[in-house]
Amino acid sequence: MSAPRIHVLLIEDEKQIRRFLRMTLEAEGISVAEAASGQQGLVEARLCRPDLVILDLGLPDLDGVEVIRQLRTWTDLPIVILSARSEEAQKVRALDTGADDYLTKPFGNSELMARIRAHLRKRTIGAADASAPSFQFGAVSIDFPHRRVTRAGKPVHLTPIEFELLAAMVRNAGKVLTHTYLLREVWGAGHAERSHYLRIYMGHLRQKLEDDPARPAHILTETGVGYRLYI
Amino acid sequence: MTPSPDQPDDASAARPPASWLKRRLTRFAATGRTSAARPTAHPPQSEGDAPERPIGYAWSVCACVLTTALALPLRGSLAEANLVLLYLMAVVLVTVQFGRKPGIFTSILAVLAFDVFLVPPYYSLTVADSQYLLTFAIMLVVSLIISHLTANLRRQAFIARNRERRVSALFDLSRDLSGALSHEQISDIGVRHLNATFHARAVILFPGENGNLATAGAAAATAARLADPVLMLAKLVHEREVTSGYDEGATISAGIRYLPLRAPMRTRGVLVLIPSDPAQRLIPEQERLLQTCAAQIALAIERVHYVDVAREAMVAIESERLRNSLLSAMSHDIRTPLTAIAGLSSALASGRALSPQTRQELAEAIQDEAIRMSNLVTNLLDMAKLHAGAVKLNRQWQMLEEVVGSALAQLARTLAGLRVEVSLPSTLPLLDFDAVLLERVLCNLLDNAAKYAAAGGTVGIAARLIDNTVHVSVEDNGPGIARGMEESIFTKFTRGEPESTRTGVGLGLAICRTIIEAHGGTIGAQNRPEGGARFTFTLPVGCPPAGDAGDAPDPTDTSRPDRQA
Repeated sequence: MSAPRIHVLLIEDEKQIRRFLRMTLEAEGISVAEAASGQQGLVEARLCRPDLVILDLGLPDLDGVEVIRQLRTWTDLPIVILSARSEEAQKVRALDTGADDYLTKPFGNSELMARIRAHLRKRTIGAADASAPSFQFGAVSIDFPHRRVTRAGKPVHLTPIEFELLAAMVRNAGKVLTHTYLLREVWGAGHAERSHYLRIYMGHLRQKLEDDPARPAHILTETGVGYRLYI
Repeated sequence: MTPSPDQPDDASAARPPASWLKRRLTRFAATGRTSAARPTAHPPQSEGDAPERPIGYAWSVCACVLTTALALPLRGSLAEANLVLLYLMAVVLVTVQFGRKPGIFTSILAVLAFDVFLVPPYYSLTVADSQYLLTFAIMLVVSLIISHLTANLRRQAFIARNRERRVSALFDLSRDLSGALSHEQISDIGVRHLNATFHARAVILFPGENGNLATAGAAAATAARLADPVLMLAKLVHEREVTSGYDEGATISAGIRYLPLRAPMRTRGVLVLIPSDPAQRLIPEQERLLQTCAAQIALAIERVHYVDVAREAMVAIESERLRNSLLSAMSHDIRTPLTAIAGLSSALASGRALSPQTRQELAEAIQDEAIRMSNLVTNLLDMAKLHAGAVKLNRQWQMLEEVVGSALAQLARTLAGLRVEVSLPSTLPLLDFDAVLLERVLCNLLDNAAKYAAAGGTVGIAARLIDNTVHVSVEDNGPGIARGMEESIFTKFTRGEPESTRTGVGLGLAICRTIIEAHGGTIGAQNRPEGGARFTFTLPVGCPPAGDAGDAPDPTDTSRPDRQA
């Protein structure tokens, strides 16, 4: 499909990082708008209606989480946050407030593009993905209507919860999912404190679907934050 | 029984001269008494007469009867003078055992018995020979004097015993306080001793955050809370003490005493003493004891305060020392990659003609150096945070497999070119740990292993469950650890090879140890018999929570239900 030129908004106060991000994105044919503060970013977002926002959490005027909150009152465009290493609690808070993904500083341009592509692709597919009949990653193939999963052609048997978990990951493929989100999606509200269930079932999924469960290629663990299905 | 030596004795009405004499004697004996004879309703602590028991009077009668029974057979053979002495002995014995009043009673009885049974005409009060009146008078006087002196002696002994008991209580309090190391301990010890010594409920209040007074320790938790008026008054006393300085005496209100705890440097709190008998008043000796106890408690509080101050000073000194070490270590190990980056990037920017391959190499080298610096900075920051105690463990029950996987993924670039062997049994239970910190440990260990493994060498991770502990080991087939350095490599800034060209401040293993020990585990290093080093850390298993019992296989599911547990 011929997509119109993608437009990304950077909300980042460090000039050098803005320069690096702009260079990388423009090299990929993406047009870039910049804002150096939270307030400016919110204004720019309304004006130029970007396809994706890259937001640094360490802004001078507004708390990054506050910016997310305000953006989410009127738009659901993808938001990728930049945060420092070892600030997991901050990342989780941002994700639970409405951010879609994160990048840990320092990061390289390949990581940046991988994240951005994953979220832009999701948007271009649109609502059709929710009822896509089948999905494939690596050697694993999922048939949603018949609830069948095969790996390298051989059927894999999943319990209902394992299947729900896998489905939730597939619906958000490429995107990081917090523990809270997954617990709510699969077990329902009120189970937020049972994160050990989630770990056990993710272990089962890795066991059944990965070649080496200790070094997964697709069902990745984002330490301290959640999980991601990498495709 | 309220002793009052000023009350007239009933029997004295029958003998006016003796009662006047007795009053003289009483006043005479009073000069040897402390003012402690003032009435107090405080049986074991009273400085008045030792408790007098009514049974003493019965014994008086018995004593006289016995003495008479003893004297009667000797009536003819012994002179009366000697028989009088028997009665005097009875008076002494009764006074010693039962107190002044029974003693006086015995004196009277003795004279009467002597008159009736031993002086002719026998069995009548009259006397044949009037010289016996003198005998009677002197006998009575002597018995009364003896009775008084004996009673005095008894009381002095009693006072001495009480004093000894008070000093002993003070000694016990001081000894126990000398071992106290916290406000809670001081409060418990002080309250326990004061409750026992004064038969009251003692509460020690310490100045809190915003000028309020608060209790501390187990005594506070179990005892009922203080009434608000009591707390208010205590606060007033404390404030007055702090603002206006030294103030005489304790404040007493509604029977409750409030003593400020005065230490040499400042007032350290308030002692509230609630007597179990509200009408009780303390004699001056007890007041002094209370003041001394309060002073001891205040001193103990001050000592504990200064111990804390000293400890904080030590920590500050240690932090200062660590900061200096960090600065000197950073100076070399950060400048090295920075030099490389500056040099490589200036080569790229120089404008000289470089082949695309060379450009690529330069760019990748810059990237490597930047990552290396990033790791170094992370280690430095982690160490600083851990050392400052700013890191709280975020422990959750999870699988070791996950952190192993994410650590390997993070170090994919470093481990490229090496063989990686992972051996994690699938039966490992859930472990309770902080994922971010444990990932840090694994990254540091893997980074070390990669650094020292030979090119094309092998790095392995393995886990084993032994008893109630999981042992995780990271090993390499490099040169191993120098003999004797297996422990010292875990200290800060120690490198395996002191003059190595490989970068690394030497913090990685120290951080690993801090993190593992915070989880209740141990970490150690050893050389493998087949060459290379093996670092092993342990994690306790604990009681992992049960899995989700609600996931039964769905009968309507067309795929075969899974039987895996």
